[in-house]
Amino acid sequence: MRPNDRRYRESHEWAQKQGDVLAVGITDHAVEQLGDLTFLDIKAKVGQKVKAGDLIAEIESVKTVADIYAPMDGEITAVNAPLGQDVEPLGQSPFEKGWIVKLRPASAGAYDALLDAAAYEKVVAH
Amino acid sequence: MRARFLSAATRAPALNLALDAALLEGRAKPTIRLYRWAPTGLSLGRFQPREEIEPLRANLGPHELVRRSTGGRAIWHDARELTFAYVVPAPPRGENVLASFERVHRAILECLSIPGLRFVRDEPALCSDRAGSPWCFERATELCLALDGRKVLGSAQRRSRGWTLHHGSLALPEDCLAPPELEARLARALAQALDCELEPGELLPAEFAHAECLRSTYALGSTL
Repeated sequence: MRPNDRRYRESHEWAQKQGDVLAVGITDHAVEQLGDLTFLDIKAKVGQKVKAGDLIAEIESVKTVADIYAPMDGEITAVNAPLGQDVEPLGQSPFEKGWIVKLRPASAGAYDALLDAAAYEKVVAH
Repeated sequence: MRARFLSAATRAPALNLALDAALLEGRAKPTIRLYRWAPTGLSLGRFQPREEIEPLRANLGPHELVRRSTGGRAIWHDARELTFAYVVPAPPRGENVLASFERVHRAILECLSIPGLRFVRDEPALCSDRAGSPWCFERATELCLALDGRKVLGSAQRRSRGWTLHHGSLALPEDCLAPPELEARLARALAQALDCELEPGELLPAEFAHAECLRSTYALGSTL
């Protein structure tokens, strides 16, 4: 079972409440799909307004590039720039060390509309 | 699954890549394309630094420099190469990247049925590899295909909005198979790998128009 202290998207991002912002990363399933990660390009900038589904980063593993999306509308408050220099912590520990951006949600209800851990398990198992 | 099959066409490098991008963005239907390149193209991987290849370009023949949306290293796309791309809801069978590479390459290995063609992992020695090379065909991984000690097939993917774009570059010696036979066997291999029925089709006008709009995104320059 994946951590139930956060919510998930079908596109394999997670969002965790940290005060009035959400930390956003990708799941272990996404990492397993891609294999050894080589590079993370965080597109989102601090202060940028994003919509749910907007591209916030691209991640490369050996020969494969995958898109990473904003889980909800909001404003980017921080980016994990060190991951852009060394993506290994994300690969090793996507839930603990792999936050990519922090985002202040535009509305409180959007978080609850994401998948809980049990629902995400079903997505992955499908 | 039924997949639209776009038979081999020769187009300019940036347009070839823009068409794949348009298919991935459009997500209209599962599609398999075969294509060739004219003029010659030199493509970089999505995040490959241009500096890795720039010093070498002056010694190459005339070409268009382009950037793929998929990963990996630089590829010289000349008349020897037959490229394939598929755009499908992703990932097929929920497979991870390496598993999907293996499935596709195994089907190609079986369907091409060329004596000596094998996975790189089964090749006793590979003379085409060069440590640190910026070229895809000089940096083989276990799941690439090799013939006579040289890498002849490499793949790369992009995964976006629930769909996968897979690029494969096949550069066989000219005397292996006549082009029509090669194309037929490659199409059969992709249908087998993706467990789909091929339906001969055409690009939609809207897809072509979108690709024309995207074309400049992929073009990095020309020495023509």
